Amino acid sequence: MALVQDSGRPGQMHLGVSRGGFLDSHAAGWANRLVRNTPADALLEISMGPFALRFSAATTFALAGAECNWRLDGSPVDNWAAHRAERGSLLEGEVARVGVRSYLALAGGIRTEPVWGSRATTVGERLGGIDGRPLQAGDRLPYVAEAETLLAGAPHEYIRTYDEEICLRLVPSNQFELFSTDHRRLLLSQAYRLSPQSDRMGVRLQGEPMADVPGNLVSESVAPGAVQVPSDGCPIVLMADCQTIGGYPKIGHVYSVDLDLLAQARPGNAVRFCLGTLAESQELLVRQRQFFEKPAGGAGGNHGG
Amino acid sequence: MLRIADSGDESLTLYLAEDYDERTLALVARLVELIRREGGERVIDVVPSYCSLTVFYDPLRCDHSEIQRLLERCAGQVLHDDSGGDEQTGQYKLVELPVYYGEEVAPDLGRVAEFAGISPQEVVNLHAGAEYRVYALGFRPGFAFMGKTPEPLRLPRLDTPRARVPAGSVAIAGAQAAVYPDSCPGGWNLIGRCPVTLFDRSKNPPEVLLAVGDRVRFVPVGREEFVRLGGSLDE
Repeated sequence: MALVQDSGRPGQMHLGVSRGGFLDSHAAGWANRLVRNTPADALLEISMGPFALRFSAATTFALAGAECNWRLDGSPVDNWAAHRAERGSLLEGEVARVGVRSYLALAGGIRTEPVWGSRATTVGERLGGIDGRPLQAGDRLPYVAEAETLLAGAPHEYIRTYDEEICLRLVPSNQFELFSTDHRRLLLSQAYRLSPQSDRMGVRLQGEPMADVPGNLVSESVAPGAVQVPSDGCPIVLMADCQTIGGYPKIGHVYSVDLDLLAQARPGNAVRFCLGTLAESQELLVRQRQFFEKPAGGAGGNHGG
Repeated sequence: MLRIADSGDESLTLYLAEDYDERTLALVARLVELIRREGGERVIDVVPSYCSLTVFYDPLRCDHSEIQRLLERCAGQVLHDDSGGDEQTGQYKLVELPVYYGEEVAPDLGRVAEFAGISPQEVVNLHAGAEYRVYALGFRPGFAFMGKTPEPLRLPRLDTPRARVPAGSVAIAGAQAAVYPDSCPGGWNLIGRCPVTLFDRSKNPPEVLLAVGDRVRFVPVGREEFVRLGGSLDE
C-alpha cells in the first residue's frame, strides 16, 4: 500500500478528524531532508512494497526507511540517499526485506490538493492524498520538475536497520494510577508480540493479558502514542490515524520518537516497554522536530554523509 | 472535581466532573472558547468530550508547565463566573434534523420497541420528542455524540457491530444518540435515516454541521419528503 503523507493535520481533532501523517517521522524526515524539503512537504509512504513509479519530469528524489532493494532503470540505488531521475526513468522497489515503511520524497514535494493545510491521506476518513485513498496503478502524482542539486546520503549514525526486538519508553500518564502494581509489572516485564491485526490506527500487542483491568471511562480525547488497555487486557498503542476520542483506560503514552520504531516493526516482532519521563520524551520530540524543520544546508546531513 | 493530567507529549487533559450533564457541558464549552482565546498560537487544538477537555499545544513554542498554568487560570475563571447551572442554552444553535423512520431504513426499531415495551410509533414519538445536546465529536469526522436518549429507549449497543452502517443512519445506544455521517462499521441500534449531510466533503475544507454544545431535535418526515431532501434509500 502506498499513501501520500506529510506531518498531518493536527488542528481538527475537535471535529473528529484524526491527526494522520507519516508513521515514521525519522525516516520520512530524512527522505524529505535529503531533497531539502521540510516535514510539511508531502511524500509517499510505501508499506511492504512492491512499488513502481515512472517520472514524468526530471527531478531529485530520496529514499529512506524500510529496505526494498530499490532500482532506478534497473540499477540498484542506495536507501537513505538522494538520487537524480530523468524524464521517463523507472523506479522500482521490491517487497520490504527489513522494516515495513519506506519513504519516497521528491524535491518540492507532491502537490495533491491539501485539506486543512495537509495532504496526509487518512483512508478511514477518505481525506487527503488522491480522493483519500491508497494509490492505484495508473495514478498520476503532481510534482514540480527540479533542477539538479548536490546529491548526498544520510550520515551513517542516522541510518536505521530495524531490530526484531524494540523497547518503547512509556510515560506513566493518563490513567496510569488506575492500574495495579501487577498490571504495571506485567506490562514492563514481558516481550509482547506485534499482532497482524495492526494498522495505521493502532498497533495491537499479544502476550500474557492483564487481569481485571480498570473499566471503561466516560469517553475522552485520545491521541497517537496512548497505550489503551481494553477489557481483554492486551495493550493497543494508538498510531497517527487513531480516533480522536475513546473510552478505554490508558496506562500511559509512548515517547513520540519511539513510535518511529514501532512503525517499522513487523507482525510477530518483540515489543517491550520500559518506564521513562515526560521531560525526556518532550525533549527528544522537540529536538527531532527542530532538526527536520530546518532545511538542510547541503542536500544531505549537516556533515555531508 | 477539578483535575489536570498529562495525556501525551503534546497535550494536557482537564477533568471537570465524574459524569456528564448539561451543566458540565456548559462549563466545558465556555472553557474551550476561553482557552483558545488565551492560548493563541501556543494552542494547536482543544478537544472537548463529555466531562473533560484536552489541550494540544506546540512544544516548540511553549512548555508543559506554561499550559498547565493557563488551564488552571482559565478553569478558575470559568468556575468563578459559573452562576450555578443556570446556563444560557440560547447561545448554542438549534439544529432540526429530519428523520425518516420507515422500516426499510430502521432495522432495529422493532427491537427498541420490544425493549421499551411500547409500539414502534411510540418509540418514534419519544425519540423525536426530546431535545438533545452534542457532548463530543469523534469516532468519525463529524460524528456527534448526543444525549440523552429518553430513558425507556436505552437499549445497549449490538454485541457484534455491523460491518457497514449506511450514511445518514439515525442511531441510539444506551443514553447516546447520533447520526452516522458516512457509511462505516458500527454497533449502534438503527431506527431511521436522516437526509442532511453532516460532514460535507464537497467543500474544502469539509464543512461540519454540528459542534459541541449544539441543541438537536429530530423531526419525523415521510418517505417522499426524505427523498425530496436528498435522502438515499440505497443499502
